[in-house]
Amino acid sequence: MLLFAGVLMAAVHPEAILKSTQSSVEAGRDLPLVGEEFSNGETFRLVLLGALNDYALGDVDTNDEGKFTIDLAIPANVRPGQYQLVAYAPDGDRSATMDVSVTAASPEAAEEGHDESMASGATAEEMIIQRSTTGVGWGVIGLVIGLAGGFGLALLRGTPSVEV
Amino acid sequence: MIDTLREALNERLALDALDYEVPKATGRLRYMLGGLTAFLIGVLVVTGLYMAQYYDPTPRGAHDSVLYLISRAPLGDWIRSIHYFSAGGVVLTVTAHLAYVFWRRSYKKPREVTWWAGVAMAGLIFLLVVTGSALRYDQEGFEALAHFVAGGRLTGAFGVFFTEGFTPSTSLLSRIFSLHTSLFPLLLGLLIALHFWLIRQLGIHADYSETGIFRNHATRLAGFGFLLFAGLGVLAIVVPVGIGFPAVPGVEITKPFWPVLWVYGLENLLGAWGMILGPSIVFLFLGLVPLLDRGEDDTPGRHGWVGWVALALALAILGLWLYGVFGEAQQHIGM
Repeated sequence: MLLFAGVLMAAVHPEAILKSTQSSVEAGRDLPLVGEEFSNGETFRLVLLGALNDYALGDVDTNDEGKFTIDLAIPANVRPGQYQLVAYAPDGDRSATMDVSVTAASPEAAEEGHDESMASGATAEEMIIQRSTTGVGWGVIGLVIGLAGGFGLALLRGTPSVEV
Repeated sequence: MIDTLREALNERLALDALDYEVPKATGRLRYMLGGLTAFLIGVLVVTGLYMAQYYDPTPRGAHDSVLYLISRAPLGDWIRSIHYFSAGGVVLTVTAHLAYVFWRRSYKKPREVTWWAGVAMAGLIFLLVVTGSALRYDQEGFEALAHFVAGGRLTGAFGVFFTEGFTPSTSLLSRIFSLHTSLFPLLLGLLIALHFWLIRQLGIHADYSETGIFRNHATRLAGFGFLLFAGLGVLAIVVPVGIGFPAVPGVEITKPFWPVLWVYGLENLLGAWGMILGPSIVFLFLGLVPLLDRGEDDTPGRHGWVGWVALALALAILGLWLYGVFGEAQQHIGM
């Protein structure tokens, strides 16, 4: 029981597993990471997928048994929050994934380039967010608005007017 | 072709049942405020269901999940903005509907229960607004949540559900999310059904000397509803709704969602009790209206002293709202 306590793991690929003894890591620090059941002798790309940003964390090579053990450096500029750590195979497939929480960088770690705006104190201001509606998205939005407006007008014009 | 399709639908969906008589005046916009409220509630349900697919109702993940919804989920930013503006729209239409029904004195016998169902729905909409504003879990959302806790503590056993001490098994945020997305909408749906049933059975409180058919009323209502939706869609593009920074606990520096600003103004005057007393007095008065204004006469606008009390309350709410808007942000709950 204790052996598994605190060990987080999740596998997308039926075999490959990412696990760590930590469920959270401070930005700018290392996350002890173990990979198992991967393809032997291949290179996997590790990426942190977050709500606002993704962070490429570099490549890792598996040994002859399909394993690796590393201390994964989490950049100091990673925004605190919930992330998925994903190992991508050379062909781009997701081989394994695990959840990890990144906490705010310590002042020492922040010297490496932590985003100050994210470490602000309490404020009633709103965040400046890159909104990413695609061209297709704008097309769908325009279509929905156009259909709703056209349908609404058609309904109003198709029914008897009433006393004013 | 279209006529054939219409006849086929009429026959199979029994749409002819919609051809009952209603007063011709129901074609006017002021008789459609309740229907438009229902339409907007439908918009809120659909957009809310979409957002729920991306929302993480845990303190650790809530803010990030809203950020994801805004910045990465397909159409998430637009749909969330429509949800926000529809919520504001519902507050406006339900307030206007309530005011017009009050002025018409449509709460008098035999429509007391119809009125009470409407008041209960208005109360639920108020609760849906405040629970919804907490879910963004930025500084404003966190402070809204802190107000639930403070209100829960003030009201003792009645409010224990809203305190962190209710259970350690799940967070207050998760429970508020559950209320916002399941219990409150369920109750609202039941009350809407009751409200519509009673209106169908008791008739609309208007002059029946000139009549039209309900199908035309419903069609025009749907027409206005879709136009309103298109307008909200444009508004959501022009003024996309944002989100504040992650909350810093123990700080109270934001103002709430605009429909709640009158309560905020009252809190400026009375402290945390304002959030309990203000809504309680307003909804208690509304609930008592059919009992206070009795008698056969139902001439619109001739409420006697009940009307003056209502006017005083309305002016007080307006004044408090303006105070909430223009007054400086204050601390109310001693965070």
